[in-house]
Amino acid sequence: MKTAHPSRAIMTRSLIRSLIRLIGLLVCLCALAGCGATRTAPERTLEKTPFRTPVSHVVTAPQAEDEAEQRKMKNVSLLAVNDPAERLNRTIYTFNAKLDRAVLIPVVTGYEAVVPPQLRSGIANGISNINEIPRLANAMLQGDPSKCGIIVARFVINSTLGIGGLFDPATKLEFYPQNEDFGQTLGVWGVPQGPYVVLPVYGPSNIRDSVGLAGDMVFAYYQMEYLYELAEIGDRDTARYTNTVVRGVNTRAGIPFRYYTMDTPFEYEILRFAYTKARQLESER
Amino acid sequence: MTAKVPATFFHYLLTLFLLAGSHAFAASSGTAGQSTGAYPFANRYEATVFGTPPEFRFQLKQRVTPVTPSVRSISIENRQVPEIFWYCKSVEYAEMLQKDEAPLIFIIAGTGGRFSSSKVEFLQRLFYDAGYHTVALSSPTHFNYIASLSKHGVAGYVPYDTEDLYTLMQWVKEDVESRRKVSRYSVTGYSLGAMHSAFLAERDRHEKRFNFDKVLLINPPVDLFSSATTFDSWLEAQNGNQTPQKAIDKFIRQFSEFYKSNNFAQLDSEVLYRFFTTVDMTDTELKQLIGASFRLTSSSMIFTSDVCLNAGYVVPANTHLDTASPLMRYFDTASQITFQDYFREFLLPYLQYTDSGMTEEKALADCSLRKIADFLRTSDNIRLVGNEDDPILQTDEVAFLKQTFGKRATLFATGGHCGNMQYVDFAQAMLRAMERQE
Repeated sequence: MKTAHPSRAIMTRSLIRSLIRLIGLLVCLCALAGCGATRTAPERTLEKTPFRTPVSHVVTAPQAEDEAEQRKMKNVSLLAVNDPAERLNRTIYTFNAKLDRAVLIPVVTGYEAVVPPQLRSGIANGISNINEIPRLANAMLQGDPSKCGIIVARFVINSTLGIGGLFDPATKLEFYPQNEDFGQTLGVWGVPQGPYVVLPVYGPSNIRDSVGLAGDMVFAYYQMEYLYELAEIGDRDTARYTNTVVRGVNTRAGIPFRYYTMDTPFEYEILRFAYTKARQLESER
Repeated sequence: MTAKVPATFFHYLLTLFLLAGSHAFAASSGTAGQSTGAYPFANRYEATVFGTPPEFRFQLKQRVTPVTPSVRSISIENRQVPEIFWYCKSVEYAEMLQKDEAPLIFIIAGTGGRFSSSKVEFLQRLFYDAGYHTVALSSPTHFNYIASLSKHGVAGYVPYDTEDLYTLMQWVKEDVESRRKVSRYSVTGYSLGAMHSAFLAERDRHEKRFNFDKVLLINPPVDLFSSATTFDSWLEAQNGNQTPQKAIDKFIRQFSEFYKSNNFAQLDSEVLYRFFTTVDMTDTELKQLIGASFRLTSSSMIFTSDVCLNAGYVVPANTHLDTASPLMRYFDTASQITFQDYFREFLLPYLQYTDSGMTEEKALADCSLRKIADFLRTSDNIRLVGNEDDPILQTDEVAFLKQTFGKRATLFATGGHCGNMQYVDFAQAMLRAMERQE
């Protein structure tokens, strides 16, 4: 690893400052744009009433000593997932949702308005092509030769015919994208998912996948450093910063999910269940 | 052109999970060649769960610059929206307006449906293409509207629901008219939204705020409680161990098998229908999926009303729920409650609390099209498009619709409950029903 640039700390600080300014500006813009009409309707203020239902289904919290009862509840529950840090996770979830609404979605909207679709598709393909390398590494670690074959074919075809990965002719030739990450690899190795975790910004995960994500990020870091080296890029900090922002915007733009559009106040529970189920089925082969 | 980020199985599963009974795949994707064949699912439950495959769909106009619905919002001054619903403090709806003077049509979603759901958006685009200003509204039974709009904080009682909609529609009317010329008003809705449309028309006959030109009922229930009871009955344990959980699990597993064994670039609607052709589920299991989807809706509704009213039904009274509060326990409880129990234990007592003269018979009758049968029979501007094999209708209810609407009803032999809504013939029937006939 290279020694740190002497002015790196200063640059990081000024970077953070300008990022904060940018976020502040965006928040103001959103507040302006999202401001709808207000109506006065005194009969619709949802004043508290003394009404209580004559029958109540309220279940008091199962006591710790009543373990059999607790187990029973867990079996009954359709969406049960092990989530011991739920309050913290939910706090992060809410933070993520607010960040998404105030910053990420407006940025994505701006990105889609300003950058023409051909260029966006090129960026997405390019990043995906770079990511074939960590995917290949994971497919190898999982000992899956057929996947390795597809990934290598994709990388070769897209890097050449696809002009350095800007296009994706491999998919047209029926070499379909393979989705491999280190969390899955750990799963294939038999590592259990562990408790559910919501990561800041990133979203749903679990202990195993968080470790996996860290592994993938370290891999990507060194891969990018290697690419900067190859490309003889002098200003590493700008390159790193650009890489992070472009990847972030590209990733969010590619995910259709929007917070709080799921027609139920139990969105957290459903997302948690779907994530856990999907990750379980993915590594069950 | 879509960016090719390989979507994870998680995203697919999420889509699929929300799909049962509400086929979530947007109408906009896929431009498959048009097939002129008959609607493919003769089985009413398959139709209801799977919807319309892309090649059978009515082709919406392809525009060089795509027009998308724009979301607008209204917040009610001083409304005490509970903290956990911080994200639904305002009533949201979507509009697509023509540039010049045009007729406007309100579109009301079905039970628990959102203004941006794929079915609503299809209708919105269909009528926009036909030259209407279109305004899409969520169902008053959607938890968002309960928290942000509802006068009483309870949903599922049609006169209350209708009142909420009628108020909202007048606000929207005022807002649209400040920007565009509107030549005349119409209203439509599917499922429960169709029943709401009928009652709105009846109400407007007296109040005359809109003087509806046309009213289109798409797959309406005749009797809300009879249909809800049907859904509930599908979730009752069949033959001992065939639980709804097992049906859901089987569906997810079959999807997972499909995902693993079939290579595809992206899960678009064509791939999804390839999956449906591989699905091997019995009628009982399909009914359980539909019932579970309805139960998710009703438990969302029950929980939201309970929190808004502090009624102590599934959440202990005076519990302060913040954004970090675990809700699983309440979901578990609410999802065990049948619609019938909700009616007897919550809705009816609340109606009696606000009106001491309320009886069970009256409350039930208020939520049935039979109550306004004479009005429906004699109003030439009310049209109906639906299916004879709609599983939410009993035989006598289909007969009632035929008898009441006569020539103004178009009933398809197959299509289930809203399954064929995007099918070419069905869409054309809807457009025809809206045409002026003197």
